[in-house]
Amino acid sequence: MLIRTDATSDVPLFAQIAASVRADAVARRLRPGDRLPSAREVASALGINLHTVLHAYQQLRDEGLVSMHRGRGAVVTAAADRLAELQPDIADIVARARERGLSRQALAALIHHTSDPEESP
Amino acid sequence: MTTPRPRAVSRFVLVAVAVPVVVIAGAVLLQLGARDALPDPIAIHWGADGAPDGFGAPWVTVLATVLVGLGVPLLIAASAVNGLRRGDRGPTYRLMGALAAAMSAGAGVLMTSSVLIQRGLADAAAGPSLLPWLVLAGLIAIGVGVAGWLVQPDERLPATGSIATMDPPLTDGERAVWLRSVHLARAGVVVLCAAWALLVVVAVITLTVGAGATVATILALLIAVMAAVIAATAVFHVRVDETGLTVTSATGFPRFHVPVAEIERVEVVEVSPMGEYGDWGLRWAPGRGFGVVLRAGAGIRVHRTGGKVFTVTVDDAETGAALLSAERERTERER
Repeated sequence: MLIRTDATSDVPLFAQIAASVRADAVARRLRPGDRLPSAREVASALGINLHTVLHAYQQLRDEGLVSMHRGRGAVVTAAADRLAELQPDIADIVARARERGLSRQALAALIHHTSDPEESP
Repeated sequence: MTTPRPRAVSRFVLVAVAVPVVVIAGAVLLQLGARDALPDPIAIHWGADGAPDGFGAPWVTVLATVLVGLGVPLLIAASAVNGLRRGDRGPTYRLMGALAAAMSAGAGVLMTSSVLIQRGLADAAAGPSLLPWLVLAGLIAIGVGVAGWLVQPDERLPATGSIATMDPPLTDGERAVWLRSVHLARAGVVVLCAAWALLVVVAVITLTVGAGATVATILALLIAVMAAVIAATAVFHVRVDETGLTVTSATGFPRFHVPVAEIERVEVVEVSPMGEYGDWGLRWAPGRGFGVVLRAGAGIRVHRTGGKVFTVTVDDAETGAALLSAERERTERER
């Protein structure tokens, strides 16, 4: 799995790590049953605090993407397959946005501003 | 990639299957045809001076001829033919085919001549020396082996790799890590565990028959060392970060590290353990360099400054190779 962090970004590091893991699931680089690397290994490779990585893993657990097992660490759940089903739609909307001169960042901002009746304010 | 021609497969089957079947069929017919003229028992073993020193029933030699001259070559053929059918190529396959033919020719000639020289003898112990026939069988085996090698075409898979790039590209402020585990392929596990089980069986038999404490200690050590080697090669963790490529056994040792500053080029390659490296595990092959090849399929190949090459087979090699390339470029820019 690929984890990318950018210290110059406004997004908190733990959220960037969680987003990377989600992207791994969408790209099917992570599949149900796969074990996430230990938080210690990720932290040392990225030069960040161990608790930042643990914070990200906890958020993913709260979302249901991973489950925590004593002794086995964080294991990817079946939710990864459901995330991966979004991949064709995401690739499609990125391509169509590019045709209209919209960067991925601009598209992300548009999605951010899109109202969702299911989500209470 | 060009589609490998099927000629290599048909020639391999000719050399490693057809030749042993014909040779051993002829050898068995000759041996059976001579049985009325043979002493009973016949000599089945000869000492270093060439004189007979072991005796048995004639069928023992027939059985040994079939087992050694046909059984072993067919085992060799069976272990290679699947890879060839899949389109895999390489000198290892050619050598195995030639070896199968040579083995059957050598065994067929030696065992059949050992029976035929005893025709008309009343007592096998008075039989002639086997040494000249041993030399003849050796020469014939070499001749058949060379012919078997030459009959097979010299086909190799082109060692072409592709370059992977990151999308979206790595920015200067980013830090990234790619982590992946790779397990030894089931075929490799079966082969290694079978070899280990065989060692255990041999040890048990040796100890039951009665062996000194020294032998027992050596066998126990051997079993432990082999178990440790199997455990150390079963699972590897592959990691790409800003320091470079790191491949570590799940047991912590061995560990291989290629610093990002020593990397010249990173490729994604399709690796064939048998065809390119001759086996699974930690391997070195001329022209391919060192490799951690635990299974067939995608791998990351790193060309180091100074011409050394390091390869590791791993799933999602494309992502890992892309990050490693990006880290290499970034290091180069910063210089």
